[in-house]
Amino acid sequence: MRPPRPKLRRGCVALAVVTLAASAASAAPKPAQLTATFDERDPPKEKASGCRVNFEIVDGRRSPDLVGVIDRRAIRAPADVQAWMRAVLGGLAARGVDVQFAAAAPGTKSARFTLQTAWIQSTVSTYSASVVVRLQAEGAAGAAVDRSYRGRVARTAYWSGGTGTLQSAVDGAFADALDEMAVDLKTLCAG
Amino acid sequence: MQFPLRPLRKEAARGPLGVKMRIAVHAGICLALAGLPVGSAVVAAPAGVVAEGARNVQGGRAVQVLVAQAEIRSNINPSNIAVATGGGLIGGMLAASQNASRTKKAEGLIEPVREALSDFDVDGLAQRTTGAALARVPWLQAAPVSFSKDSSPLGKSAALDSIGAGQIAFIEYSYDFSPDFAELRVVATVEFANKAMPAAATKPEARVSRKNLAYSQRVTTIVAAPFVVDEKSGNASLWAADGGKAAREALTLAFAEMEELLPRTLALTADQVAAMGAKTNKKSDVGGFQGRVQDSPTGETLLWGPGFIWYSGLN
Repeated sequence: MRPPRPKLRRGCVALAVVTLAASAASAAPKPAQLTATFDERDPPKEKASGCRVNFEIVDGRRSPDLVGVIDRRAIRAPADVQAWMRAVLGGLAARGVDVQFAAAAPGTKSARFTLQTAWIQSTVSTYSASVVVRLQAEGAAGAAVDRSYRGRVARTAYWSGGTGTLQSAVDGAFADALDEMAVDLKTLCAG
Repeated sequence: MQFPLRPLRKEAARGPLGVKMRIAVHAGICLALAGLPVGSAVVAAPAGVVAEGARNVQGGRAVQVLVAQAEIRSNINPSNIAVATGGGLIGGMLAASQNASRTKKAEGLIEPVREALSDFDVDGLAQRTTGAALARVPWLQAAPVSFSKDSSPLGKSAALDSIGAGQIAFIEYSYDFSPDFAELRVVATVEFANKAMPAAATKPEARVSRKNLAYSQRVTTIVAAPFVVDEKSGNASLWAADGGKAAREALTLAFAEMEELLPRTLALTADQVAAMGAKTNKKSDVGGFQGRVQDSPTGETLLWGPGFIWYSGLN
């Protein structure tokens, strides 16, 4: 009969590893940092409509450094909100709107884009991101847009609740908001 | 004839009885070592009452109000398909898929309520409620109050370093709908954490871990919709109707009751807590929270969970 010691030793080591892993898991998790990028899963492919809009970006959030706290882990927003929102508004190009951020050129509409809310939460194994943005723009002959757009998306975390999934959820919520905003902007341009 | 004494002893030790003894001894040591952290975590719990001697702390006490959400949350009943299918990878994936589907549906239903509440400042309401509640607590009324949305351990630990006080009373609010949208619920978790590092702690955030808290208690206020129908979509749309009138009233009522129950909670004695949690008090369940039934002079349902759980209808 083989002595039981090696098996027991291995078992003991395995148990210790599991215990240490559990202890590490209960330690305060490091914050997740989102990047100032915008990457759509399945972007639309609309042709340029000739609608050119020059955006002024305003940050109206109450906690600009944070976009959520999930399982005791802070989800940090990109520090440069201008760069972040430029990347997001760049998504309008795929929706037929030509976006600019410099001084308005002739024939270009001016718009004020205010980021009001960007937040992500978890429900069981799903991340839900929601954003609220406000668009104020004036068109020809007194036509104007002044409304808020809401975007939301849910992403299943399965076993990878990493920063990539969080970023994808926030990007998806912005993409949802851009869809409706692009329609209004093109209507404004056409008017 | 020579008797090989040592081999015989070894052989004896390897015999059935010896093996079992070794297994028992090794397993005992293993389990004892592995169980140490778990055991200590179970044993160490923060105080559920603020003793008279703990009301004044060296270095003074500050208050931080936390609301770690931007809008009202939806909720789901988690899938139990993993259990029903006997667990495993397939069961887990099916459960995750079902939970995702339920979450997407709940998020869709809550959207009109969020839109209707877009100008309703819950963060401000939480701060005003806290200020009014603490004004009734003589030993807390002079404490400076700040606000944050970062309820993570690292965020709280940073607050302990940046706020010049020996202890911070973190009052964290969360608000959501029950999974069937029949109730709107507000929960306040009150935790006192010391700025000083606990003995044997190596990381600053250990100061806000549960076992090192000086005090922890919870208050829950639940407001039931007056119009409950069987279908959750029907309930959700009724909360959103008329500019979110019912949701606004329910939030206002739930926070108003917090103003009453927070000072009452902070004034509790150990004897009062023991009496409310006595097994002679009947158990009950309201809005997804369980507790023991307490006398309620105003007629609403009041449970002790531990922590007060107040339940009322919206008239």
